[in-house]
Amino acid sequence: MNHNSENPHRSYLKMYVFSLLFLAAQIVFFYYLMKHYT
Amino acid sequence: MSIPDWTVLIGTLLFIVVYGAWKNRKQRSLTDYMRGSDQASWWAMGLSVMATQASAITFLSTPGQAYSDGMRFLQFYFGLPLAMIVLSVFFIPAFYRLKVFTAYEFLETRFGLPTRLLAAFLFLVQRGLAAGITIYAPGIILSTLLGWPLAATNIFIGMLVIAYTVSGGSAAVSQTQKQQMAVMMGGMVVAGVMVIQMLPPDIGLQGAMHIAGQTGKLNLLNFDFDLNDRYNIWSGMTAAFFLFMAYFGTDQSQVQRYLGGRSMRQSQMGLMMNGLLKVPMQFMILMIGVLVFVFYQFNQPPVFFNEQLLSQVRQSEDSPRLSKLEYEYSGLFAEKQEEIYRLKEAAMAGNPEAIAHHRDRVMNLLDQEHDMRTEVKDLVKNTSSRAETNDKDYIFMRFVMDYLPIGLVGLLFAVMFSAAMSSTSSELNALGTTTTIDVYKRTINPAETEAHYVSSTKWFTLGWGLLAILFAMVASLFENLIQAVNLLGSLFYGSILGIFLVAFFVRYVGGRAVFIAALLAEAAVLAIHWLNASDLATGWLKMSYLWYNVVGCLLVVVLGVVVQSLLPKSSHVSSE
Repeated sequence: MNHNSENPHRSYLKMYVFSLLFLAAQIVFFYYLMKHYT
Repeated sequence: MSIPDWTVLIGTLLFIVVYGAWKNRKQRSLTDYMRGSDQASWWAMGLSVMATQASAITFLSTPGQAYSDGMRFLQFYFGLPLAMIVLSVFFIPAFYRLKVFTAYEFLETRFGLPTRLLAAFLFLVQRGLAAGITIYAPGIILSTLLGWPLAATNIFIGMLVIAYTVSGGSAAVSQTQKQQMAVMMGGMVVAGVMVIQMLPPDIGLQGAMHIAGQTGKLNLLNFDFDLNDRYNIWSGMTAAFFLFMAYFGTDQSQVQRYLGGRSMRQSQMGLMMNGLLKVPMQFMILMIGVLVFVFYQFNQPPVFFNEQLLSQVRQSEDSPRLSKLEYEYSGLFAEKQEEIYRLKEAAMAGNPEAIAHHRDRVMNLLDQEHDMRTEVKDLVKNTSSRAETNDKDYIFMRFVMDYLPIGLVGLLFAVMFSAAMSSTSSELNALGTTTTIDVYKRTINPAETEAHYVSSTKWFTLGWGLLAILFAMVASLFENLIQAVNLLGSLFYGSILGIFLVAFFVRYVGGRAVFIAALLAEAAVLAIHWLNASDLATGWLKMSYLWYNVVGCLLVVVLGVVVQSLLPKSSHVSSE
């Protein structure tokens, strides 16, 4: 399936899932910083 | 400040203002003036939303907060990306479907005119007062640092903002915000790089992180649930999530920033950009504050960061006492510096016993330092009973003025003024728009030409701008008023958000029921606040103000359903 014919709802969903995963990754990073240096 | 610093500061600000006003001087229709001709790209809207939220206090206070309290404030922003998703999915499509100019216009189509006017009125009162504080709060700090009169600083910030916001409307606000964000982010990144470079060579970034961690500054996550504590991960994920939904979804100063997109998709991406970048941006600002703290472990900081108040003490009868405290402070600094080196060596070697030993010593010395600073603050209070003894807002700029090279000092002042202007311009733009669209055009004078409404919006924007400057001028006379205005948002946001959530999700509830529910919920929030403010709240009623957003919102939804079921059947039909 090429990019143009992709279901727009699916690309919206990807954007939201990416945003959540990015937040989760940041929280894991902060946890690492806190544990590693404290 | 040196002449090159003044040149950088004035040059940067004037360029942004003149270019913004000139580029957007021709605005003929309401769509041009209020939504920038619907031409904004996603990244421009994203920057505009971020610039609106980032006030001067963000850049002045946040590093100082990290310096004294660590990085726990970051957790407050964890709910923001979640709020952006909800707004993108539910709010933006509804606003776009109706092609509204203000968020409150949408409410009339669902609930009728009274609810629209109620929400618009609450916004105008709260944001109208807050605009004055947005000018006053940085004005008092920047005037102290630059040695300007407070009134002149307030007028300087206010008039620059009025110049381009009145002439160019929403497009000028967005245009200038792009450049202001570039100045803000550029300036802060440079400051961050500089503070790392100025750390002692044998410390470096790695050593600084160990020192920060061992002295409790990397308190990034707190998993303990406590309704009274704003800074834990649960408050951030839930209460702040409601606050951010209300702020970005129902506050016209934010809604107007993303209504003028080329398409709905662009607006959604703009909000998502804000959701992605906000936490890293706050992390960077807080980290700069922590690094400044580490820097000051190897370079003696002033005993009190507000130099102006300190010099008043020097000229008072408490001067000998201050000199004695400063002498002791120097001795303590030297002792602490040696101990910090030992702590860093132990931490890098991973020796738990040595770490515990030196950490106890360092924390004890930091406590002593805190006590000495408290004594100095008492002297400041003795000299002037009205003086603000909390000096954390001065920490970062004091560092900038004392240690950054010529040119960068001017740039960092440009950061602060840009931040003050970017928030104020969105506020004035939204106040002018709401006054025209929701009040003047809707209820007073509905049958005029587009040109007339553009012209009236300009006059309303000018009026709100002058009112904000006036409020900033008298704000210092009413300290309680400033606190009240800061609280006002949290008192009203919950109920307004509740009205919007009922509009989207509870079709059963009509206009009259939601109006009554909103008034009841607001009364309940005010009662809870009164109980907390007078220390009478017990049990779950004892909460930090952040939770008022959740309580107000949920009460509107629940009471809306209850009231609707009690009303006669005929009023079940909404006004849609």
